[in-house]
Amino acid sequence: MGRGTLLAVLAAVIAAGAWALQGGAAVSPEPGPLAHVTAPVQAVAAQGALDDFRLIDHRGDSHGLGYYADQGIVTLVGASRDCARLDEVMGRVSEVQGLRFLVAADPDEDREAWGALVEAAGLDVRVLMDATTTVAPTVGLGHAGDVVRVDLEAFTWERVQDGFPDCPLPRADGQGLSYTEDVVPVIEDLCLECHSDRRKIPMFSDYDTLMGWSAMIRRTVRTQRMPPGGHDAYYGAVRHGFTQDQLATLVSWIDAGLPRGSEPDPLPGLNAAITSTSKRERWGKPDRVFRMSEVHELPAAGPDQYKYAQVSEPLEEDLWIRGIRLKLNLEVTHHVNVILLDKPLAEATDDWFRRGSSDMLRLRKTKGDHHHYEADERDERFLWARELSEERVLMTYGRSKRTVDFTPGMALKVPAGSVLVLEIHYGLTGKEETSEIKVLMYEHDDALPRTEVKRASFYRTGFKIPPGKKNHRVRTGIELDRDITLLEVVPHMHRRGRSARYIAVYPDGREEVLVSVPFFQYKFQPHWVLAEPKPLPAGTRLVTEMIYDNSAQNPINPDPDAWVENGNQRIEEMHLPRFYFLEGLHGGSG
Amino acid sequence: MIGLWLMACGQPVAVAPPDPSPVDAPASVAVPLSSWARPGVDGQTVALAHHADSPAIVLIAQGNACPVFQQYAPTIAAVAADLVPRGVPLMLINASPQDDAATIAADLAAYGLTGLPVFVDRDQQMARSLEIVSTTETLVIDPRTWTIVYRGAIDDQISYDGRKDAPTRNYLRDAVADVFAGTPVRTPKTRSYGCAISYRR
Repeated sequence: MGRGTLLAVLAAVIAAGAWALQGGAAVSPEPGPLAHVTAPVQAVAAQGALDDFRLIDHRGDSHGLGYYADQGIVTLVGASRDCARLDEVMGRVSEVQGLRFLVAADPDEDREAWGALVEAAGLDVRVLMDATTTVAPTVGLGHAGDVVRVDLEAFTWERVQDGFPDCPLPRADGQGLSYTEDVVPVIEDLCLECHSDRRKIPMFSDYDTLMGWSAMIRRTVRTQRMPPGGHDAYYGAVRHGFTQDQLATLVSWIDAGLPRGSEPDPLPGLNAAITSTSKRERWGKPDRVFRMSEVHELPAAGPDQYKYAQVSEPLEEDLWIRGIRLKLNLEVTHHVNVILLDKPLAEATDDWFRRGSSDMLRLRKTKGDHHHYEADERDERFLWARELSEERVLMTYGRSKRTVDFTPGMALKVPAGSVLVLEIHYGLTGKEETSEIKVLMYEHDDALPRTEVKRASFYRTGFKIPPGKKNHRVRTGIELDRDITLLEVVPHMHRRGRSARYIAVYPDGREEVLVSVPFFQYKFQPHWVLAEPKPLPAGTRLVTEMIYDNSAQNPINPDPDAWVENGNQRIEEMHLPRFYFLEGLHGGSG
Repeated sequence: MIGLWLMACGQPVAVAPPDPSPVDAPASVAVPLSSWARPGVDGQTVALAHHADSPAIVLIAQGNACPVFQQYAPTIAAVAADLVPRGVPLMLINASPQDDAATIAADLAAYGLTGLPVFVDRDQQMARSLEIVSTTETLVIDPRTWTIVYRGAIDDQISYDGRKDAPTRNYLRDAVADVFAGTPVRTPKTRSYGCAISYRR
């Protein structure tokens, strides 16, 4: 049974009101793939060791439970919108002292409905959206009204109050899933390229290897570290995104004991198909290849390494580029910025980092204007970007399969005279490594009409993050002086970066979140490519909001006791929202 | 399916207690610590009892291709260079179903960790009994009482989200120092980050 069928059956289950059933009636899903059943497959335990998880709440913020270890105790209350006794559930929440969350097993992920419910109840509580319905049962939440006390010091949990027997929570059941028809397609779509048997962490060579890694696969998915680049699909799709159904399929199949079935194992063949030949077939021969003139030798241990490498002489002519790929040592390379300089690296001084305003882009920059963007309790002073410029960074490679790969007809201009320089962050691996990076460029097909892709950033300076502060919000924005169509965004922060949003405030005052990255992972710095290019008319204010975590709870915080200001050094922070766009309004509905 | 897995292990094993899920924390089997022995990567028996006279035993869970373990390899080598001359053996245990003696030896050699004894726990009974959840999980065993006096991370340098330039807390070093001092371990349990071990049902 394929994905389409799975979705069809899911849709049928939804249509049949499976999640709306009350009174503990068992749902009999169609035989076959994933169903979220309301009758517990097995009794939910009453206590256990905490298996950490991360969920997005009804307001779009991301919460990893283990992060709250400094709180000691966190209380979770199970909830389902279909429970007739929701008032009583809310009543139980209101009695909880200390940090508390509602956990909503809700495959529909109706955040607005949950927001209305807690508001109506007069509660200041975040509702964690367990859209895969795989998390709640693993922390003792089998029914609405279950109250579970999580001890984050001991990393254990215990149900301290039983919920309502007539309100069982829906729960993904992976027993009916087919390994070959349901699970392998998810792996092929989300996992295989970076974890094939040619890669350093070969999790998916065959069924047995997958089974050996299954506990770790489950853990990384539950904590939303994988797939990387956790974008919040609630605000619209990105290319190379994923769905909650895909994640539910993977995790519930593992939870069900990885039923193998009797079909031949497709994974060995799929691994064999991932070869450089297949990549060459997909991409064709590169038109330009730039390589480092010397090999970087990296030690086994020590602090991360930051290096620069010039990979070209000044270019003699303009290049129009439709795609860029990097060939590199994947294991040791944390991220790479491909930068255009107007002079050789040896002559560059630190000021080429400072993004001076550019004549090439005449988007209006506004100073000192505090506009009406609505503030909330986390708000920091809003400042318009002081500088807007054409980005010197041509592209970022950040440990993901995303790369510059434009729709045919779109191309980036690399002007004559440019010098290509790599800015490289190496994360050490435990053994000595070498790195020799090649930049492969694919030129625009002159037979096609050409639309120039522009790239820009607005760079917020002048912020100061207090020591120990957990949610320091820094926002900035520009007002567009012309129509543009947004293609991709690359929010750049350092180790205190926690989340990022790009928001459009349209001329009529309407606000729309364009891209939300609720759990920014410093070790991945991908391009987020909008599935549908987004037209933004002149007068729109493009606002970015980035939240920083300068507390000791941030495991990679270099110094929680420091005031942190803007700067290029890794102990400093950046608020650098980059974006790629076309001039004019293209497609979509604005 | 499971039967095939066990046959592939090449050694007869007792039937493991059923687990609710292959990824749940393993249920403990009441076996005295001192009795655990397993073949090493060279086939020679590795046994905790051989070190009954040591002031402490350090046991670290290893798994092939686990980036957290690999990043800890230089630290583990340094810890071994410090402890082994002081009579504290540093031992590894591998209970990952996808690994075997040959690939374990190759993986360790690639990261400069040759010479450390490895419990090759193909039937997972030892790791299950010791309630080991993931690789890099580190136990300090006091052979005088055959109890686990420390369980957790080596230090606080590496987490899933990245690594600090240097650790700020050296849990393992401090635990061993407490054992040497004859005082209770001040921090007996910490959270460790590693690759979760899949237990067969």
